[in-house]
Amino acid sequence: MALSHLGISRSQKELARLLKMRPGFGTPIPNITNLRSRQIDVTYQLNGSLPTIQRWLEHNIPVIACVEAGELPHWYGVRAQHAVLVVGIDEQAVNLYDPALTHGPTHVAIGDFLLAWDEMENRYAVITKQTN
Amino acid sequence: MSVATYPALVRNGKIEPLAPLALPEGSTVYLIVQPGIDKRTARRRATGWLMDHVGNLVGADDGMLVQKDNRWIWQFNAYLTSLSQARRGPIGQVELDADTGELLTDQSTVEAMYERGQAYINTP
Repeated sequence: MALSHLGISRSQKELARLLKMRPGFGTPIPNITNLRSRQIDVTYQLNGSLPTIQRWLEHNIPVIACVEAGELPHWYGVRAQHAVLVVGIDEQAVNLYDPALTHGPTHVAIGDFLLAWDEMENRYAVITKQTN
Repeated sequence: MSVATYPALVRNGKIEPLAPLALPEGSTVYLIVQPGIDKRTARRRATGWLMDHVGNLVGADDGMLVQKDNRWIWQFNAYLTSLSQARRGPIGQVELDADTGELLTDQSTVEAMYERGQAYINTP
């Protein structure tokens, strides 16, 4: 999702290989930096904040946030680790694309999003195009 | 018997109540020492370690405080999580020093989790 926002196409198979994905386990999150290339830069951080996300969004760069799904109302308490793509924040809600849903963006109350994100130590990643 | 709780701090080896206390002479006093790292913080750290070293779908349970070799340890079972099915496991444990927050795990923990987790994945 984040790659397609940049107009970059990668097959699921290629992504799984680059990220060293293990079925059932997923991928160690820092492996997202394996996507770095001449075209792409990747930032992976802990302890993000809403202003951090806001700053990326101001540059039209969506933010991948790790969340505890059970804190997001649309998952009705299903406890599982998950990642969503944040594309906007307004006064009341965080607007995000949830890759497990076929529609979007989904509007999540800021408080619910913060609870879900905080459980994952506010981990986030951003994928940008290389500038040079 | 009634039980009352009074918060206190240990300073220079002495227990100092946060507010003045006037307990009846002969009272029996039980001491509960809170670990330096609370359970929620410890669980977040354990889950973070699992996500960074094992996989983003591996999480920690509610955990428990145990004593090992005169050291207080937060101990969490690790599970495979999924949006489409119940969690599976435990596939291993993550331990943290309850006072310092130091993670007491290494690469062998990771390998053992992959091995145990694979058994759950292979079982329909």
